[in-house]
Amino acid sequence: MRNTSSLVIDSLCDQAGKEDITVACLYCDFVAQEEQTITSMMGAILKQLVGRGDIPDYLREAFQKGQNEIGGRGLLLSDLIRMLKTAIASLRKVFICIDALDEFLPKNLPELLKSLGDIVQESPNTRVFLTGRPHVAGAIQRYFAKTVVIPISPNTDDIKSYLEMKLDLDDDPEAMDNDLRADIIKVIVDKMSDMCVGAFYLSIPSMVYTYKILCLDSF
Amino acid sequence: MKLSPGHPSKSHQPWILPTWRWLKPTQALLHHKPHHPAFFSSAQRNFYKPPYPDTFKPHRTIFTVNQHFEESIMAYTKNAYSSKFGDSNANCGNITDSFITHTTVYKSDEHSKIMRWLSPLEPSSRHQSVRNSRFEGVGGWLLLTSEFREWREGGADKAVLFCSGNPGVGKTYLR
Repeated sequence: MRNTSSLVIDSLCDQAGKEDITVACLYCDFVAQEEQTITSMMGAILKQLVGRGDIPDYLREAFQKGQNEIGGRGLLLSDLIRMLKTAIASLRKVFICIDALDEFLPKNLPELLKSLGDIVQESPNTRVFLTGRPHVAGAIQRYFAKTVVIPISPNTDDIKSYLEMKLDLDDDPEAMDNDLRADIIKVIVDKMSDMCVGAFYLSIPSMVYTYKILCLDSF
Repeated sequence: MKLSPGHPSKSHQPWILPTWRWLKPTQALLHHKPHHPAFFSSAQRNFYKPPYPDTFKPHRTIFTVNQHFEESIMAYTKNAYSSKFGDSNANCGNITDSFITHTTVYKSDEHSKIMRWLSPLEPSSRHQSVRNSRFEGVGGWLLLTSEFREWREGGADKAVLFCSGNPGVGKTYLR
């Protein structure tokens, strides 16, 4: 999925070179859940939307106001959303890509989606690209009723080229020959395409091991 | 790769050459991934037992270091170096990259202050590290689907596209 997100983000960025679009991306991570609050996520989107150009006046004002307040930051979610809407209004088309929503702190997910929904509703020039495990689909559809869902599962070609790439990186090439290599790919691809999950976790020793298991299985 | 003269053949002493392999953090940590499929876990654990026979005496390796072994060690140290600095999360799945250790160079002092105030996260740097380790040629079919193209070009009613997938379809290792 992360591969997919980064592929989509890059294809959008390529497009951004040709036409006037702006891309913001966010990657959620289990281990960074504490850093990934709703305000830091929204702030990161805004940062990417305005970061390339000069600082807009409304942002500078909000910053100075925040500095004067007791306690320093004073960055509220409502202010952020307001600034995001202003920023998006000045752009032609904005793509917001968020990877691995299932790794975002679940109790904060509804509010994140609500904030996003708020922005999308007022800014029709916004497109949102999300990835995550299937179980977050319900939450997403609660806030975006017309979400288009595409299930991602690796096809045979994906698995095959992945295994080939891994075998090319073998650090012990003496132990491998062409027949074994072809056989490993064939057996794993045949058996694993049904299972979907797993082929992309294989290191070479475990690939050989899996190959042995699968072969034994068929005898 | 030719073994140096006098080097015992691998088939007789299989523990000499690949010993570094079970030390590699990539493989050692593979079992501890939070969503590692149960299907492989027990099998892999057995597989990574150090391949020493009971009679193995460590000092013997001193006489059997050859070029291959040195290269392997160098590859290992190089690997460790890069993971230490967090420029790639290749070695530990998705757990090494910290979002705040990356720094982006901003135009001016004020600019960078405001950007840091907005958010400590640096998703652009994070994106660079993900794309650097991406496996090209996989998943490109998505960009060709009509759903994706309609979403990219389409009107306000199709503002959100959600790609749903289980772990193992490439979230971390498919790249």
